[in-house]
Formats: sequence, C-alpha cells, structure tokens
Amino acid sequence: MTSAVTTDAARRPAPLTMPTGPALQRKVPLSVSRIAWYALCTLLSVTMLTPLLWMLSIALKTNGDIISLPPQFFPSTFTWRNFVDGPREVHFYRLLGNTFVIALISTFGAVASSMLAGYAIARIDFKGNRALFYLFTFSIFVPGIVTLIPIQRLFFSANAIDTWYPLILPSFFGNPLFIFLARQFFLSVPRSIDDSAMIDGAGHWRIFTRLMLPLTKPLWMTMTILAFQASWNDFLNPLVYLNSPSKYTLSLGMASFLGGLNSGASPEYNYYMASNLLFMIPPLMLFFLAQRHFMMGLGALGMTSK
Amino acid sequence: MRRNDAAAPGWLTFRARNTITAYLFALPMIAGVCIFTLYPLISSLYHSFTNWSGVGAAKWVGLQNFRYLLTDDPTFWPSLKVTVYYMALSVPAGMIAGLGLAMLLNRAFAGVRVFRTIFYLPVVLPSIAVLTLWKYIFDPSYGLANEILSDLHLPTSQWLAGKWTAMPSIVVVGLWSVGGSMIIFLAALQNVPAELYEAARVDGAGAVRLFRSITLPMMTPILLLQLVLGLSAAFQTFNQVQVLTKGGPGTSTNLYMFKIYNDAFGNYTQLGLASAEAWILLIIVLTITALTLRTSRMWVFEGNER
Amino acid sequence: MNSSRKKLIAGIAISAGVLAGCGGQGASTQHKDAHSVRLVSWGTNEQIKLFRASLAKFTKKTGIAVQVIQEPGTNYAQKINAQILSKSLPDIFWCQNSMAQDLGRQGKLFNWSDYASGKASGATDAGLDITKFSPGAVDTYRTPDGGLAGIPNEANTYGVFYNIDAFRTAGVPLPTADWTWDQMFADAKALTIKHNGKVTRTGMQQVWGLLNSPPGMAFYSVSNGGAPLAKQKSLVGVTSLQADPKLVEGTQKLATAIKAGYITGPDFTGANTEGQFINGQVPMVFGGQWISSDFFAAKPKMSWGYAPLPHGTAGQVAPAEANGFCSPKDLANPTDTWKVIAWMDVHAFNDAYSQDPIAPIAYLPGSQGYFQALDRDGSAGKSVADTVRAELANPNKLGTTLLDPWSSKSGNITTATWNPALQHDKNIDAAVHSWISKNQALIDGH
Repeated sequence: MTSAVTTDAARRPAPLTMPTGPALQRKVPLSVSRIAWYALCTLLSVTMLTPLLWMLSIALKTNGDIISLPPQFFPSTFTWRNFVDGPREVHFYRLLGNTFVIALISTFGAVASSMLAGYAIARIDFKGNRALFYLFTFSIFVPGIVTLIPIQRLFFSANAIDTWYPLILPSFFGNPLFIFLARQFFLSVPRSIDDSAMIDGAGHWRIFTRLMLPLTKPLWMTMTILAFQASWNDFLNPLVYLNSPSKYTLSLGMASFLGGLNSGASPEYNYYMASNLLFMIPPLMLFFLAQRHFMMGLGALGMTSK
Repeated sequence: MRRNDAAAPGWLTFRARNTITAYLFALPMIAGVCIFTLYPLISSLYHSFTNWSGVGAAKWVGLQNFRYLLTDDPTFWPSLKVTVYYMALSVPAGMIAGLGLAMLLNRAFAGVRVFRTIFYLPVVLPSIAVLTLWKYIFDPSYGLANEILSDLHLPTSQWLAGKWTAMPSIVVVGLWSVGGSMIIFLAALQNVPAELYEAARVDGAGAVRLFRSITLPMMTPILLLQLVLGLSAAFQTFNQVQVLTKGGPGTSTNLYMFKIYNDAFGNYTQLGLASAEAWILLIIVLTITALTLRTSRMWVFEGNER
Repeated sequence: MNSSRKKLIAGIAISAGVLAGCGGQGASTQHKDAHSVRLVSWGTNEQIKLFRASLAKFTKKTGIAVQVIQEPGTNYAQKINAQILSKSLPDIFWCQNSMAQDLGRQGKLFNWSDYASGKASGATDAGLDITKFSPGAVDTYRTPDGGLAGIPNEANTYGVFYNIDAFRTAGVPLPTADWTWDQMFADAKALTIKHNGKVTRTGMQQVWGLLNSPPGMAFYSVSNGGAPLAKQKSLVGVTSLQADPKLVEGTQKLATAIKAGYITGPDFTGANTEGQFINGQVPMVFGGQWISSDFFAAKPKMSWGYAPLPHGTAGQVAPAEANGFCSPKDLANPTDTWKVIAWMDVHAFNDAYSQDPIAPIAYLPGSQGYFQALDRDGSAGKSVADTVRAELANPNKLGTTLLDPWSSKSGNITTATWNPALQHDKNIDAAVHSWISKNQALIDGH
C-alpha cells in the first residue's frame, strides 16, 4: 500500500459535506461506454421492475380476470376502481392512520434511544464501554424466534393485549444494529470537536444535542429510514397483539384479502395488490428523498478501527 | 484533567462523572437488552428442557427434546442440511450481485439516482405481497418466468414445483431484493478515498488492478459485515418458505426456521421442542459468526488506528 | 434551532403518550357488554359481509349482538395461540379438527356436550339438533373423555374431478357414483399420455394429499373389507395401530401408478393443477370439493364432473372431516353463544352460501343454501351436489388425519418413512409396517 493509506485525512471522508463524488467519475461526453452503461442499467431496471408491473397488472384486473388462465399481462378492462374499492374494504385510511402513528412514534423511539446509547459507547470513555458494546453486538445475533414467546408473555402479563404499547415500547429501548451503526459513524467525527467543546465547559448532554446531532445527520436519517421501514412493514407483531380490527395496522388489514385455511373462497388478489401498491409509497418516498443521507450513513459501516 | 464545574460535588472525578453520564445515556438500551434479549434467552432456555403448550405449567423433561431432535427426529438433520445448502447458494450470490450492482451504479451519470431507487424498490415492498407475486410468476404453466423463457426459446423450468429447482428459485426471489445489499456496498465504495485511485493510476494501474488492489481490500470490512449478517439472516429465512413452498416438494425446501414454526404452531403446540430448536439455532448462528470473525483477520484490511 | 428542536421533541413525546394511550384506552372501554358475542372467522371480506347480514336478522330476533371479526388465515394458529396466552380468545372462533382436539385436550376449550345433548338449560331453544349432523362429523370433535370440543360447521368431502371431454376422446367410460378403485387406477392409466417414454400428460393429479397418506389408504382398506388404521374410526383416542393386508395392497397399487407416472405422488406440489384442469390439460384431479368454487368461477370451456371416493368390494367409505366452531373454557355467556352457533349452522350458512357455494355444512339442513347455489351451475354443479350429498350422508366414515397429541411428531415419520417409499415404489410392505411401528412407539412413549 502506498503511503496515502496511512494518512488519517485520506482515510476519513469529510463528514461535514457531501462526498465529493464517486472515485471513478470521468467527465466525458456521451461516449460509447456511457451509452453501454445506460443500456445495461436500463435492461437491469426493466428486469427489476417487471414483477412490479405484474403487480400493477393484477391490481387492475377484474374479479373474473384474476382467475382466468393463462393470465394476460394486460387486463381486459383497466379497473382503476380497484384502487378505491379495495382499500375501502379494509378501511384503508383508518388503518393508514394507525400505521403512521405507530411507525412515527416507534421511529422516534428507536432513533432517540439508539443515538443516546451510540454516543455514549462511541464518545464517552468509561468503564465497561467495551463490555457493553460486545453485549449489544451479541444481541444482534439472537434469532427472533428465541425471544418471541417470552416477550409475548411479558406483555400479556402486563395486560397490554389489544393495545399499541407492544408495538411502540420496544423501540424505545434501543436497537442493537443501530448502536453498531452509530459507533461506526462516530469514528468519522473528529475528536477535536468534543475536546474543544469540553474545554469550553460543555457537558455531554450539551455536546450531544448541540454538536453531535447536527453533525451526524446522515446517521440518524439512516436510522429513521430503517426504523420506519421496519415498523411500517411489520406483520407478526400487530398480528399477535391486536384483537380489534379498528386498531389493526395496514399490513394486518390487507391480509384479510387472502382468505382462510382450506376455505373455498379464492383470495381477492386484485384488491390485495392494489392496496399493497398504495401501501409501499410512504417508505419508498422516504427513501427517495433521503437517499443521499442514507448512503452516507451506511457508508460508515465500512469504517474500521481497533 | 479536572474540569471546573460548580455543580459537581468535589469527590466526583471526571471519569466517575463520565461513567454515570454514559450509563444514563445508555440506560434505555441496557434495559432493552435485559428485558428483550437476556430475559427471553433465559426463559426459552428453561423451556427447552420442558414440554410446554404455552399456557399453564411446563413439564420438565430434561434433555428429552434435544435427544429427540438429534437422534429421533427424521426431519432435523435434513432441514439443517437444506438450510446450509440455502446459505451456500444465497449468501455468495447476494454478495456478488450486490457488489456488482453497486459498482455499476457508482457513477455520477445523470439519472443514477433514479436507477438506484429502482433497484432499491423491491426492498421497500412488504414481503408477503412480494412473495405472493413471485408464486404467481414461478407458476410452471402460466407464470411470467416460463413465458419469458419460452419466448426466448430457452428451456423452461418447474421452478418451485421441482425437487432440484425449488431451492434455486427461492434464491432467485432473494436476489430480486438485492438492493439493500447494493446500497450498503455503494456507500462503502464511495468512501474509498479518490486519492488512492489517482495515485495508483499515476503509477499505471489498469481497471482490474485497481479493483483487486484498492477497491476490494478497502471493502473487506464491509464485506465481512455483510457476510456475517447475511449468514445469520439466511439461517433464519422463514417467509419465503411459508408463502412459496411450505417446505416442499418433499423436504427440499424445509428450511430450519420453517421447521421451528411448524413445530411451535402446527397441529399441536410444542413450545418446549421449539425452544430447544431455537437454542440450537442460536448456537449455530453464534458459532458461524465467531468462526467467520476469527478467519476475518486473515483477509480483512484493518486500516490504521483512528 | 436548539429550542425549537426541544419543542419538537417535547411535542412528539406528548403526542406519543396521548396516542399510545388512545390505543390502550380502547381496550378497557371496549369491554364486551353483556349481550355481545364475538365471532372470529378467517373468511374473506365477502363472506364476512354475508355472515353479518344474516346475523343481523339473528340480532333482531333475539336481541343478542354479534361482532364478526376477521383474522388472517395465514399464521392463524399463531394468532390463536397468542390469544390463549393473553386470555383474550373470542367467544367463537373457527377451527380445524386438529386444533380443536389439541386445545380441547389441554382443557382450554368450552365443553359443549351438555348443550349438544340438550341437557343444559336453553339448549334446545336454539334449534340445533345434534342428530341432524352428517354421521361421523361430531365424533371428530369429541375428546376421549366424552367432552365436545367444538361444533362442526363446514364439512369437507373428497373425490375426483374429471374432464368429460378428455374421457370421451380417449374412449374411457365416465366415472359414476359407485365406480371402483380399480377403475380409478385404470382410468388414470388410460388417460396418461407418454411421448418417447416421458409422461407429457399425467392421468390424475392430486392437489390434496389425502390418498398419499396412511389414513387415506385406510379408505381403500375398509372399502375392500379390510380393517382401518385403528379401532377408533374417527382417529381420536387411538391406542394401537394396525396394518391390514388390504392397506398394503392399496398402497402398492398407488405406488405402482405413481412410479409409472399415471398419478402424482407425495412430492407433487400441485401449484397449478387447478389452472391446468380449467384449461382442459389434466383429465382427473383428486381434491376436496372446495376447489370446485374456483372451477365454477373460471367457467371452463369443457364439461366436467365430480366423482366420489371409489367403491371397494365391501362398500364405499366417506371422510369425516369438518371445520368447526370452538369457544374458550371461560366462556362468559354459554347460552347466548350457543344460540349464535346454532344460528350460524342452521341459517347463516344457508343465507351466505346460497350466493356463492363455498362449502357444504356438516349440519345437513344448513347445506341447503350451498346446494341451491350449485343448482345454478349446470350439470357440473349437479355432479358436485350429488357427490357431496352422498358422501355427507354416508354412515361409513373414516377420519382423515391422526388427531391425538402423540401424533404431533407423526408427520415427520410420514415424511421420512412413508413418502419416499410411496414416491419411488420401494418396499411398500416394509415401509407400511415401519410407519405403523414407529407411530406405535410414539403412542407407547407418550
């Protein structure tokens, strides 16, 4: 390796500005290689999007169409009404509201608790720092199935059945993966900032809220995106803890389109796909808008230190 | 280095105050790990030595569950075998695909953000809808997959219905959602300092050499992380089997996690047995992770201290 | 920025508390009032609508309010388990034989036997007559200690859907109501098409694995004069298993047919069998009557029919299998709940399924709506109706799955011992006896 590797400045990307751009940028006008690149990307995109288009096609079919075989790509009539009728059958907007509230609160809880703990692990030199970090990292690898039933019993004995508490509370207790991410990201924030703030007499809380939060925007944006997605798409937890349909989340409500165990009725795939297409829009928009921050936040995962 | 802070009592050293602050910051997380990881671990460990239907007393049976699994259960070892096979297929495929796509999209060409969003799209879709869709697509007679293959005059496949093709089909479904991996690798790629490439190019290195000597080694920490997380996740794959194949044909896709769920919530609730299986899963995941981390020292580029 | 951020955080925290409280508040205010009965179903939104309409009439008549709640069919067992753990089981929930037996034996279900026999006060007012159930249906819900873990609702029958045009083209006589097993095997063979030794059209595809299982082969055995798998025909309370030579004979015939490619075996997933049948590409499909609703909806261009389980030398046997209504042990209002169950079986299914023939009802008078709907579906509908009627009325019933707690591990034995032998026609006799002895070991060790 050349000496460039060992320079601290070269190793660390500038966290306070957007990345200067990918290393392989070339400023050439539309050349053959560029066209080839576009062609390849387009081809792959089409492959990626085809199942989605298929979903759209199913969503637009009438009840008769979805069971006719062989399935046609283009519906016989473009039943855009399915996007209205389907959602209405499951009280889409009420469930959407439920899901939003739960997702927003969980996201806030996850980000807040993980940022606090992440700052402590990454920035505060205290006894047990290492041990705590290993403990948190260990819990990433504990399979969900091991903890499923005991956590259920915990909530049930606290009489939290049919409430949103089991869906929201756990996120306020931190997310080990986010802690890991936070620690990695904080490596790129110069210690000098902390030190000069402490010289000025600031305590940890002030450093954290006034300095670190703005500096680590990509980090908690990433956490926000991931936490929101996880809560938005969660199916098993609402299934287990919610009994009243008025409290259901969307993912749970939409499952009603699929019907039951060896019952004769066939699933209403068209309404199901239409509702799902609507369902995926919020997390997707969040990703699109926050893409840059998301990637910066994730970029920290590759940082190493000892 | 003592700090002058009038509010602090004289006997609290800087380090002691640091420790208290740190533990306060990390308190939610610590509580979370105790409540949501340690307590369930202990509880499920206890239950793995019992026969338990979920309610009421658990009957202590000692090592009976483990003995049954390791010696008597005719589906235990086959499902482990199948899960390892799945791991061996899906993890390398996912990493190569993710890395390849990331390298492809690591340009500053116009429209690259759109392409990135398109590739990330499948990750945002709710999993049950996606899997229901893929079941449709893989239909041997009428699915999109065979339709395209026959249009291109390629041999068609039985996909999920064939004994040898079912597992690869599940891997293909996983590859469709490779956008998550891609984003992480992309972020890591962008963190490789441009100076390294320029210096190497000045020395006359070609594209392949650049990749082999700079890109790949700089990516190894993130590769390690993705590998470890990927192996752990692969062992816990469940949704795909439940929606797509239910373990069939025969036992060719009877992944371990699916077996655990069936034993837990199938015709008869056997939560003691399921706890035992879950603990075996935990041990396997930890072992794999530990082994991978141990060998990582040989190939992961550590970089220097921060 | 800092103070406004603080306000933002405070605002979120407060609204979080308020909203989470709202979510929680509902639980306490939503306490069931004395006359409201909660019924959970896994049906589609359409079905639920029809049930609600019928139950509205019930409420008008009796003043008992009924709340019909939909719970997803996927992960249903997990949901019920969670409700048991949290003591929040609904008053009535849909269940299958195995679930009812499992929970019933653990003492988690309400014992309906006093109401079924009319002994409990107010039982007979509801109008549900236990003798009017299809013979054998109630037995699968009786626990060995004499309790009744559930009340059957939707019954299942099994048979062979056949493509009339394909039969005529191949010159094979059509299946009749009392066709025999040998005819079934012969038909499958005659209708299989091979090209250069490779099967291009299987004679009979099995979309439901009943015949591929030991209880399924017991049907062959009993109808040919042999013994069933166990003395207890409903397969409840089994203490010893037996392998009759007729059982081995039937299994061997099936294995031979599977190996030769005439019939599909245990490894076959049947993912697109229905579609192929609708498009006339499969001449025979073994399955339950419920898939006929897909066929009716798709309106296939060929004519088709539904034949019952075949006849043997000693008679014809029908399956005893039904979904049911279960209730939790600590049921608050048994009499009111019983009335709801009775209404469902007696009236609601008639109302609902007369619009869309989903399933026949084990309570025979409750099947009228189903048969009415079938009458509107032409000759195919008549064929299905005839077969279903015959199978439901048949007093010779056999259970279709093992229903005791020891059988929880039996599925693994079937997968490891029975299925490979059947799929590859290897040592059928040894495999059958091995299956029996391994399951006997489970019984003895339990």
